[in-house]
Amino acid sequence: MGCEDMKDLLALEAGGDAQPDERIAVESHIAVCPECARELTDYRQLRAALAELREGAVPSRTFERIRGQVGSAMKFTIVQRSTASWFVRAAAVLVVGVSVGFSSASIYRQVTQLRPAVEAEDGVADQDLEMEKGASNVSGRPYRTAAGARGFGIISPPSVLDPLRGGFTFRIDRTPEAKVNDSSKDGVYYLPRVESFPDPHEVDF
Amino acid sequence: MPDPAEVDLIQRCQKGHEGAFRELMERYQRRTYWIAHNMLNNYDLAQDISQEAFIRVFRNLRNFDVKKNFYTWLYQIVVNLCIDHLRKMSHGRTVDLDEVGGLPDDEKRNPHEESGRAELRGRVQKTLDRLPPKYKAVIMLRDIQGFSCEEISEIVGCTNATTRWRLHRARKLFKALWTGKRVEAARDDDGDADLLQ
Repeated sequence: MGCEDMKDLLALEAGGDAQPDERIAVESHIAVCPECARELTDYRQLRAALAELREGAVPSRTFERIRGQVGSAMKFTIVQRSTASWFVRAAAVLVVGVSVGFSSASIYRQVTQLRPAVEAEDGVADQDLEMEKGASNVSGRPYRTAAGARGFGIISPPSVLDPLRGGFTFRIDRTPEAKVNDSSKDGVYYLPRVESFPDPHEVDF
Repeated sequence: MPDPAEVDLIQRCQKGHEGAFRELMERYQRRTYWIAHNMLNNYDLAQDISQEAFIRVFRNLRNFDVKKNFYTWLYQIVVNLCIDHLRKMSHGRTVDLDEVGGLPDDEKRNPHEESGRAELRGRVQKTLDRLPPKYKAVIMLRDIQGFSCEEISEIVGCTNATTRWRLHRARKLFKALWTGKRVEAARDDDGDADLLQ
């Protein structure tokens, strides 16, 4: 290895940063090259000079001032964080409230605009139900089908827990008591409200 | 591996104990200050950079992984702040080759040792200030602050091989500037001003 190649290694070797094989190469070279040996000494002297800068006198109260400024910034950051946390909580409550409101309105609209198809309890598909104009089909109101049949009952909204189901459950009670209000002469059939669930007599639209 | 006592201290800081953070600051403030001073050669700037570094540490300490070395993270913040400052200040700066003299020797320092040391320190700092920031950071961390190449790699965020290359380059440039050799300004691959012999 020539002097030019060695000069790169001398800078590292001066600080003890050469690899073991590089160090061996440097030592064997400077043993026969006074110029590189002198250059290595120069590098070592410069390192010693640099070490003089490690620490020195510091203006009085420097560290107290640093701690004081950082302490003030810390307090400000803590206040900022607690304020931000309060805003996040308030925003979360607002978002939940608005979501619940919109969901309720949406469900109400779906229920009032419903045009369900009905399947009879015996499994035979029935014709579409046509709601009587202006009549509500929610919670035990009377209604009439497209075929002219009329009823009285409750249509429950889609399950919140199973929204994909997308259907409505129309519960029919076929007990004799349910026909108390039956006016057979004009074909009107009233379905009473069923409060309990599960109901063995239920039809899914 | 981080010191268990220090890990405990940092964990207390992460839980929001202001007293623990004060203790952490007291442990590192001196070296933080001197790293900034070595980089910037200005007491007020060194104080400002130290404050900013500790504030950043406080704001981000919750995300710090205690398995890592705290001091390399802190000094990385300090060095990066200093490099950013130097880059901002370097626009339009010129290199004055007459500012530095020859090699230091004991004969010059003996007659009036203290004033000689002060003079030496001034000359060394002036020479150091003429190095491009990334070389200045590496030679300062190794030859002034005494960190190992592995620690420097963590602080400056590069590989060990890159650190050694920068160190060798920094020492050569420092020696060239110290001895008054002709150097030319150029741009390196990072876009920083470099000095070529």
